[in-house]
Amino acid sequence: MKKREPQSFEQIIEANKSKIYRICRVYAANPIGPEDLFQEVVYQIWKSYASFKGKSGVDTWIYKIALNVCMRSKGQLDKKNNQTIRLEAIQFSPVVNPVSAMEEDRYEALKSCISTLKKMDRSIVILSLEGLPYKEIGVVTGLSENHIAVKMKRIRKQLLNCITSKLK
Amino acid sequence: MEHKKQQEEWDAIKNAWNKSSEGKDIKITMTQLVEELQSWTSPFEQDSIRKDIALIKASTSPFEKDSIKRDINFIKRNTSPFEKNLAKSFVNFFTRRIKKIIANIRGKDF
Repeated sequence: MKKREPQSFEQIIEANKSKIYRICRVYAANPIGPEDLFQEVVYQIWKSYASFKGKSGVDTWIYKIALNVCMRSKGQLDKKNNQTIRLEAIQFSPVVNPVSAMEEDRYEALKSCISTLKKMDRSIVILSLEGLPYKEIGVVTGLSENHIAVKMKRIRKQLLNCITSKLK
Repeated sequence: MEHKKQQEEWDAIKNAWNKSSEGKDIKITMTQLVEELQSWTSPFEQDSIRKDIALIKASTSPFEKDSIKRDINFIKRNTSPFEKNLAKSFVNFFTRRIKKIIANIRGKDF
């Protein structure tokens, strides 16, 4: 099997910025925006990059950090009086008409329905939407593959019902 | 039929999820980012350590502080010069041994 070349910090951030942003966006809640969370995640990746030994995949590692930062954001960033890290090197600019209004409505319904789930269920469904196999989701969450499969069946049904009723 | 409909709905949700990062263009100047992160690390960490120390200080009751002080004084009073010297020589002996072991490990070519 061909050994994968280790990636630099810069390569990791560039390759994963969209997935980090998606996770930050779904967890963002006033007054902490997705941009604030994104910067915090980048900072945490930087801090733990030196100790990352590549035992788990880069994807798994990134998801773990992003979910941890976003999940604890409510309590911890509030305590810091919103003094989140500010990195001028990261610039966000809006894209004109990126998605249709219908897709945006569907996303808002999805975000709202995800926020009603339990902490663990929320992480599982986010990782599943990211396309992570159950085995990898298990590595991130610490649950068994079978447990994830059972949970996902129930969460998926719950989400579909919730979104359908919101979009009616 | 029902299953197929559910699958289509789920696919639409997945699509909306994947497109949720397309609303913002994220531009990162990497060299500047690394410089900023390097400069952020120390003050940020120092601040965090300071907060932790303040928290420990605040959460240690006067009774606990008093008790620790009493223990230290008791140890100081009841330790003879011979015991102090013995303890010192033990510490020196183990420090030398550990240093030797570390030097051996570092010297080995894995």
